[in-house]
Amino acid sequence: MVNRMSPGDRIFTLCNGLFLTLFAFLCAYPLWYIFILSVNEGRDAALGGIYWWPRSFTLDNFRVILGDATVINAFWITVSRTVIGTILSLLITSMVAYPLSRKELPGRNKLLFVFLFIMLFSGGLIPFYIQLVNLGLINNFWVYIFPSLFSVWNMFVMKTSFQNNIPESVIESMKIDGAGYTRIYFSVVLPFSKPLLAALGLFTAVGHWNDWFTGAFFVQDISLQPLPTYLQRVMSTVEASNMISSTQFNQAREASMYNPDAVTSKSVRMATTVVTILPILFIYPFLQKYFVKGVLIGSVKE
Amino acid sequence: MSANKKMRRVLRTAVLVLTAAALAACTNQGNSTERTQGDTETVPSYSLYVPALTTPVNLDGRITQEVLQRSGVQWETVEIGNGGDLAQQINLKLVGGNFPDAIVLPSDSVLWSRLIDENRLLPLDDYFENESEYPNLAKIDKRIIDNWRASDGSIYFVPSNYEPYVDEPSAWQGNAQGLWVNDTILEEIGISRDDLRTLEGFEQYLQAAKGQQDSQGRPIIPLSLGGENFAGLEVVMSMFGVRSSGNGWNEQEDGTVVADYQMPEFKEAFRWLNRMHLEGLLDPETSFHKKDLFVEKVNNLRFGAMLFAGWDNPNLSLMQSNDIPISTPIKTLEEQGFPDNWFSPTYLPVNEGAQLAQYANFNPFGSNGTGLRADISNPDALMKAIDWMQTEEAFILMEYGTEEMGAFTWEDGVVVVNDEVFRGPDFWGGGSGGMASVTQHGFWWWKHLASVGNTHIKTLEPPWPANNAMLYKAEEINREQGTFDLIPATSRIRPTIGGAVEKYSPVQNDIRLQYYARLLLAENEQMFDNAYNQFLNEMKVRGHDEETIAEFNEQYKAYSETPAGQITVDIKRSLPRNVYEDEPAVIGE
Amino acid sequence: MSYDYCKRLDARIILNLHIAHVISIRLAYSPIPEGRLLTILHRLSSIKKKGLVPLYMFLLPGLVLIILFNYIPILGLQMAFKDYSFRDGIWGSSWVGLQNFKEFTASSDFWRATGNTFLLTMLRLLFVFPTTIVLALLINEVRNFAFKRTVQSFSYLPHFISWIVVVGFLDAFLSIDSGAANSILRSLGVNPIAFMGSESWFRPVFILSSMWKELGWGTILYLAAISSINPVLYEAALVDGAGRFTQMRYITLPAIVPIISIVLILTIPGLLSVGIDQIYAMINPANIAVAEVIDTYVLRLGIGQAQYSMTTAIGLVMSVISMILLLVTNSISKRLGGDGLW
Repeated sequence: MVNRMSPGDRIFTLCNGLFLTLFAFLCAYPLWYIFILSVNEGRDAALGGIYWWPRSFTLDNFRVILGDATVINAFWITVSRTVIGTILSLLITSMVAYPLSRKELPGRNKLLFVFLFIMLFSGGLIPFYIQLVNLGLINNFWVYIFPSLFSVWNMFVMKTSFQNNIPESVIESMKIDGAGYTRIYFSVVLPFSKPLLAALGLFTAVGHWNDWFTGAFFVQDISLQPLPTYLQRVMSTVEASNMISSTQFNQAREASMYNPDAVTSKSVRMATTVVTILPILFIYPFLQKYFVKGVLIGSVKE
Repeated sequence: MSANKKMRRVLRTAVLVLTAAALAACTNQGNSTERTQGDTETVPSYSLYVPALTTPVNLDGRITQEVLQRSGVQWETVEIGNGGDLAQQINLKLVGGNFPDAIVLPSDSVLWSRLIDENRLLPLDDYFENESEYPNLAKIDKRIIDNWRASDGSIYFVPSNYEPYVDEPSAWQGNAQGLWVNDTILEEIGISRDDLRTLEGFEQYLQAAKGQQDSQGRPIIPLSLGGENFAGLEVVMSMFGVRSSGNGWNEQEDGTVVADYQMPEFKEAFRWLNRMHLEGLLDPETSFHKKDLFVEKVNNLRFGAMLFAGWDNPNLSLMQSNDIPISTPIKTLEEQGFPDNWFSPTYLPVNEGAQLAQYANFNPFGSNGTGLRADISNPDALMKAIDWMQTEEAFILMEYGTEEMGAFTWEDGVVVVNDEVFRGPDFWGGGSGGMASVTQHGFWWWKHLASVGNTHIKTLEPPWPANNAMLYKAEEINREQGTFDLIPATSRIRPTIGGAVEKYSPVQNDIRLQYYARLLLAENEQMFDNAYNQFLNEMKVRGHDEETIAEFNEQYKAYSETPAGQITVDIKRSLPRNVYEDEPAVIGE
Repeated sequence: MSYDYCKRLDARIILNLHIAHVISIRLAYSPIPEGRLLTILHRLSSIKKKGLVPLYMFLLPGLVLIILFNYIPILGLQMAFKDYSFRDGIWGSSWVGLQNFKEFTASSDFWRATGNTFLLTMLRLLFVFPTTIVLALLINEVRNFAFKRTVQSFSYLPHFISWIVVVGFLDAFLSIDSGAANSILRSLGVNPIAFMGSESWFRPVFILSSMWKELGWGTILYLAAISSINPVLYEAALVDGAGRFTQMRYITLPAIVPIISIVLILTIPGLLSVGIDQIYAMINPANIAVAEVIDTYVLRLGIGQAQYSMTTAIGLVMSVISMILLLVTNSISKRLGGDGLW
């Protein structure tokens, strides 16, 4: 195959390779930087000049944020909301996208507008909060799931993909065989869209994984707190502890309590970032196998 | 059509789940209410909300259990904040209708007035006058109570962490602001500390410092104004006789109040800063650097002098990098010599003809306040518990636990702390976790709810580490040079709800920051004048400052006639801390 | 008492569901004049005959959800015309007409923020959007499987880093005192530049940093779309002797055009919202004049001053403008022969 490459193609391949290598490095380096700062003593890191390797190694930053049972619980809350939320969301959203992708659906445009409308208009935080109170979702695990179950954005992407990428002939032949819309959905539409579902699923999952707002504002029960909310709290505590020391706290032993720590709010922030990203990095290859396989189908066969 | 059936099943499940979720919520709600009702017969039970606290509270903690038992009330739930904006969190609470029985808020929170305005809080006046039932509340200095009085004349909060004897406060109030200089550079240049007390002498120092180099051969940045958002500006303004802290209200001789930026001295001060910037004497990143970056520069010893809050000085990291144990007292350091580039506080330079303005506040009135919901059931029992929490016994329990826990012992009426236990895993969490890891054991947070200050509790205190001694010294200097005083009335007034000050002060603050940057970075005198005139104009047009100043003057005048406005404190003596010795000493007597 | 509360709650849920039901019926079938009843019935029976009923059933869960979590809260938009106070609640607050609108349109802050928002989103559309497509095409051209996968994986990393951390990194990298960028400038004899604290550098830094953070992640969608291309097309093209550029131009690109147009269309209503995180982390007194956008402005009004009526009013205006923009783009997209949203 190589000998079929024209010189122009070869130069392009080379430049492209070089460019993408540089790009990949630019993307990866800051994360490495964050990682080494997270395992370096905070006060030492504040002196700057750390670029490639940690200078004085410590795991204290991680001890601070992973140091108790609440974290394990928060971790499981996050995992379950991510799994349940993503699967249900893909299901519900694709269920809406599917009929709206069928041109024969009477009233399709009006229905589309009904869904589009919510992308543009919202009542703001307060009415939303009141509605959650009315539905009994405050301090309830399902507040992580239900409000975000349907995604307009994903719905439109799915709808377009269903319309353009699923051969109409396949659907027609299914219909001739006597299949109803429900069967077409499960046996044609969903399997055909696996790569897209994987991609949108990843988007959704990351959204769930990183969402601290819901936990912070709609849930007070510590045992229902997801990881990002918990980490947000730890962060503000570290910052507060720095602050408490600097405001007038009238304690007898205050002066000696101002403990010079390996931990600064910056180093904890770095460790927090690492903790949030790592699981995604671990899960990612499994998901990637799914849709990269799909991604590559198009180009591998030459 | 099995698929159809499947579909229907999916739908049915979805509906079921929805209903189940709603039901679950209902049952939860039911349970908790019933439990509350069940417990009422035995121990009165309440819900508490501490939005400023972000560390989870463990109600099963040993000290907490002890506190609950001795105070005689049960806390059903203790909700904490999420680290986000306080106003928003509390507003949502108000909207949602699940307002707690008691709420703890920082004393300077504007939300107090809002809660009172919406009739959410219970007036507590009677409790502070009932000596037989609530002796410890009745004992609180009337000036403190007056300070907490709302504009309608009632008191809605129990203060916490206030000075037990207003006239005999602790000598340490945490005010380390001022001028800090690099001793080594000062010495090399050959300028004395006294020379620094004039603006000229100070500039000479800065010019000379500009020629110095740090260990990596980079030129020293002569002057820093501290961290974010012109943190040290209040110190600079003081040098020119302007008070810019506390929203910049300056009281005139005739009793009226003017805004700092309208004073000619304000312009003069900024012109000076601008000149410092143009001559390369001021950190070029002053107007925009973030705290992280500032701290990095501090610890890399990039600065020759700092006009700032004092706390983020490099002394601690100097001790660490010079292998000096971090608990070394200053006396030891004086004997063996300070490490190079040690920063120490010194007297402020004063502009000719000006008198230093106050920027360091003495606030004996307490850091937090606890309010009760207007329709709370059985407030008396709760107030009884809060009354108990004002005792020294309660303070010691909340701070050190019970004596059996081993963190302290009584020796001749003096609290002697066992550091190993006190800083161990059951208390401060030990190790490098610091305050972040202490909190899961949940003990010190009770002091947010109610506590008297510990100034007069006799305690054996180890000598302060040298770096902290410098902070203490800075406050002493503030007292001596007249920049430290009782928090002025202009800073104690809470803005009128729905008034011009409340409405426009956020806008004004934005205008300020933006124009501070422009004034500082102006390239010549004409640009500076333009920026200043634009600044005044923006304050007028967007900031509606004519309205705000008029409203504040009116409010200030009215406030001056209330008991709160007439509070004066004559400090008879202050109780020093064990700062300058190298042996443990008893403090608090 | 708790039982009462529960019953009330149930009632509310039922009421909400009822409202949802009514609204959904209203929206799905416009009000029925009596004379047309027969035609409606006829249409209904034809829907049933064609087996279209399940399709409506598919819509149902989504409809219920948006009614519960979007449409009912949207009723809160009335706050824009009221003087909202917590004591009186949304429904009980007094009407003030257009006063909120008058107030914010009279403020120069608002107009400055609007200008900045528009400019920044346009810049982003101009630079980030096409670059993402180009990057997706470039990645797609890589033949080495392992290399491709590595590049892809690495390019997603920045997406997971919060803006606060990213900007912290920028602060360090671009610092006058110790930043690498200014060290290089200095060694070239150029005066250091205050990248993070200057009005003229704010926009370039804003665009480049959003590119860095979202480029790789943005390619996922396009690469997924490319993956659905039938390989037969490439084989046929190869047989015809088409080179890589020809393939890219005539097969890959057309295949992702629908996705491109949908993403583009969906960007339009967002033209008035830059996304608060990045700006919030980058804004400072020295660049506020160019960095303040509607989102940060509203945040300040809403949170700092609890002016919920005013922020709702601004939100409402933004929504209406977004809707107009969307309708216009959709019709343009259709007229140009592309795919519209409907």
